[in-house]
Amino acid sequence: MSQVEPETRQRVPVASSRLKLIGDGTEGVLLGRKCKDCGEYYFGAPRFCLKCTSAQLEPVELSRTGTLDTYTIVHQAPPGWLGPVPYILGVVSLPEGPRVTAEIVDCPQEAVKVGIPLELTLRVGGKSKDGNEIVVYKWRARP
Amino acid sequence: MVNKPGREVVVAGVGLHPFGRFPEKTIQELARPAILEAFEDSGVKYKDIQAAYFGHVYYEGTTPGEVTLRDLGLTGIPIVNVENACSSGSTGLWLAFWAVASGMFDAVLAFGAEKVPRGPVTVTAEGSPERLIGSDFMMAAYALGARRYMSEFGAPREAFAQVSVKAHRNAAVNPYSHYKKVFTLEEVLNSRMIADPLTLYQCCPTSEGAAAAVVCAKEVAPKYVKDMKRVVTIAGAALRTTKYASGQSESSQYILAAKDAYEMAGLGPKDIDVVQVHDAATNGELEQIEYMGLVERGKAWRLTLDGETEIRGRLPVNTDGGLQGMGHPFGATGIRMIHELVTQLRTEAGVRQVKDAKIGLAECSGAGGVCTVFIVKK
Repeated sequence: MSQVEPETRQRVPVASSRLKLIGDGTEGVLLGRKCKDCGEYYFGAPRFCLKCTSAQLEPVELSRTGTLDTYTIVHQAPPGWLGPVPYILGVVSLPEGPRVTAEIVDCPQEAVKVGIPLELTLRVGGKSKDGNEIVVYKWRARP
Repeated sequence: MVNKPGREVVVAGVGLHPFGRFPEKTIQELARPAILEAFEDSGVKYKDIQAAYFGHVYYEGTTPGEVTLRDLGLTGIPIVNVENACSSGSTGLWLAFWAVASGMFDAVLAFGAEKVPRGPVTVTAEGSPERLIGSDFMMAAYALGARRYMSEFGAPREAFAQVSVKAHRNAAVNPYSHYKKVFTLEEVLNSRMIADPLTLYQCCPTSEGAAAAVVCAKEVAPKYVKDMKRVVTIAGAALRTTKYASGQSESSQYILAAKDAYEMAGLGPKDIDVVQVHDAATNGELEQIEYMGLVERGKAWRLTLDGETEIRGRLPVNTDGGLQGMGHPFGATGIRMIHELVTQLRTEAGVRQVKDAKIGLAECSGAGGVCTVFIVKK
């Protein structure tokens, strides 16, 4: 007879400075910073503005959609990659300016073209040492 | 940003340990023959050397420069270990240049050596977010640039492959190169896909090897150097990192470093006879010669397909085989480029000799947004 273990597994973002999970962790939002002095936007949480070096940066939530700036299909997976091979890696330009590099999922290779619109989606990309599921941000074709 | 050197600086001599795989040798055993060759080549002796700069990346114990030079004599000189990714060697040379140009020292040594492990090159530590995101892979980063270049300028994948064909042809007649096999365009295109559009034969090999250069003040060089006719002047030396620009890919360091070097040398792209650039992936060569102003942006692919970057072309690039054919021991690469320019300018390159090569340019870039540019002349 098997004993039912209490559900202790949690979902954690791959980097809390870049991704905030909502609710049960199946939804989320990309995080960034906006410089109060020069107005530049960043993905993630730089402490100083890369453009003007100001420390006056405010947290912002970034758009969940963007356009594909460039991509590659990786056939030799680098160490630490736990997903399928080959995989599509894309750089997406957000309307605010920052570029976000991530895997493109749910999209046949032939459909990937520079300039196509993509939207944020989340997938479990690994497991942390304490057994939590690490949620990674990805891109998918916009319906 | 451009400082004027206080006095003329020359490369008095150069040395190389062949690039390849040498599992039986330590990094010191790679570096010392290159250093001794540079001493022999210049006539400068270790007891004349007043400072040394060692470019390397992979951990080989602390102070590997000191450990390398200890066997040549404990002379008490300052020895600096330099890590700046793939531009570690050229960064050491840049420091050596300024140490002499400023008047601090008369004769110094810049050297680099590396034993790069096999397999994909990554830049972040294990367990980093980039590993799980799948973006920490140098060749994927190059491939993203290659795809952008194709879409912006209409370059076909054959243009990238042609860089490899040319590089391997040049490397095949270079006794120091890691690879001596010649490939056809089809063989390059049909080799195993690494990161589309880059195939295996378009990604430089990870290698072991070493390079060294003896750098002197010209005014005092006759005291040390055996043949002043063989010295080569460093006319421009620049080191830059990325300057942020909104909505642009991070490429400003190349343009900034080129501008600094040309300005210091009082020369322009039209004056350059022979070129070495950082072709870690084949598309790197196309983009670098554009960023150096040697060809208009977006036109290097056509120039390459037309054969103009061959040794006998209008703009000979990577005449020794480049990173593609020579291989890429990170710390050694930047100084290896200077070795080839010095060899060319002395008219000692044999079958690889570029006709009337008087002025050369070497560009070496590194992860982290580093770029070095040197302009040398007879």
